[in-house]
Amino acid sequence: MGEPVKDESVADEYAPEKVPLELRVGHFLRIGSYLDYAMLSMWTGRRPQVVMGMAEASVRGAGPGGPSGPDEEILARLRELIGEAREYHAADDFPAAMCRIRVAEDLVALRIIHLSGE
Amino acid sequence: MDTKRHDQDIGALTSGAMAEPWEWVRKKIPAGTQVFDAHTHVGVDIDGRAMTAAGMKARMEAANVHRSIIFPLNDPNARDDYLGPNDVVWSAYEEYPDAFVPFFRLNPHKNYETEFERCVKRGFGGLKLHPVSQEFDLDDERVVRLFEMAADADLPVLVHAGFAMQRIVEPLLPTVERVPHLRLILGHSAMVELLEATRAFEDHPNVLFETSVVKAKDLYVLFCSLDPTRICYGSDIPYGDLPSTLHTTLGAADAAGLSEEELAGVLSGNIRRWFP
Repeated sequence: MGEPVKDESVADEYAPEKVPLELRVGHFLRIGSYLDYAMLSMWTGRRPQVVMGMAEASVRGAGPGGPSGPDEEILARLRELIGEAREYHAADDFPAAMCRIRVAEDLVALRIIHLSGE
Repeated sequence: MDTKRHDQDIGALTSGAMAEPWEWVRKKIPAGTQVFDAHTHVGVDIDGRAMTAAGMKARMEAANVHRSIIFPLNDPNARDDYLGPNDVVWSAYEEYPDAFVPFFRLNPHKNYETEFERCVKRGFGGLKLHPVSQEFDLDDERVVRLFEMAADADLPVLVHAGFAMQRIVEPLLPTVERVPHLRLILGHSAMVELLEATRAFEDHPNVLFETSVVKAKDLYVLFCSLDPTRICYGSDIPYGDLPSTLHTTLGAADAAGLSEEELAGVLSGNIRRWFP
């Protein structure tokens, strides 16, 4: 006979108060670095669709707090911005694409700054 | 989503995923502020980018921006003296005199005296210098002489101090100290040397820091380290755009705790001290 199943529900494991601040910051640092790569690749024209795809992948799925975690609202906005940026870039509308990547990168940086004061 | 190419369709900058950030920007701009963009280009660049006077004006109207400083790009038709691109900027100014403040551009490696005099007599509002595109150091004696000529003519100089720059404070500081009446706009806020620049130029009130295409984390440091009355907003059109650069500036200012009065200064009042 194996170990008894824990009483805690899956939802409890994702309770926002149980998500370490350091982990939330770490996740945003990851995303920010991929957005920096994306921006540089767009300016230099070196594999921009590939690198933008990496940035898009970095925000895929729920954050460290799970589907009800404390950062899901901004992560959803980032998914929308990066996804549209990649579409506009594929359609040869550089300004519309870069505009979205800039805003996404700034939202991530400002969130990290905000979290550092919590 | 409509993704066909439309260089002049500024709606793509404020719709879809940009609608919410843009709405936040519009609400965040202090009431009554007539936004002044201190860094834009009109003409064509060797990299293929271009902006017309009408395109620039349309962008300003769509974003409710009141006035803009305009100057030439790194124009393939510049030849030695930038006369042609400077004339393009002057024509744009004549078309929209209430919207544009025209700056002329020069190549310090070439004979610039005649074009400098022509542009001063014509009534240009300032001079633009780009150390990366024209490949010069800020302490090159020909550049220092241009700074002195501009100061004597009471013309502000906007110098590119952003991407690809590797020496900013150390070569500029001696000129700023020796020519205190030189009015200098640091384009892109000295980006890589931002913090060092705030310390070096803190006591030189004729040096303004301009925010275009500087990231929010850099601007946060700037707003936390320098009197906000020394900072002015810019977009760097066509490399930047109004919605995202306004979002960056306002987001960083918000995080740094700027007051509405300080914010209005950054967006308008600070650069208007020189261009009422």
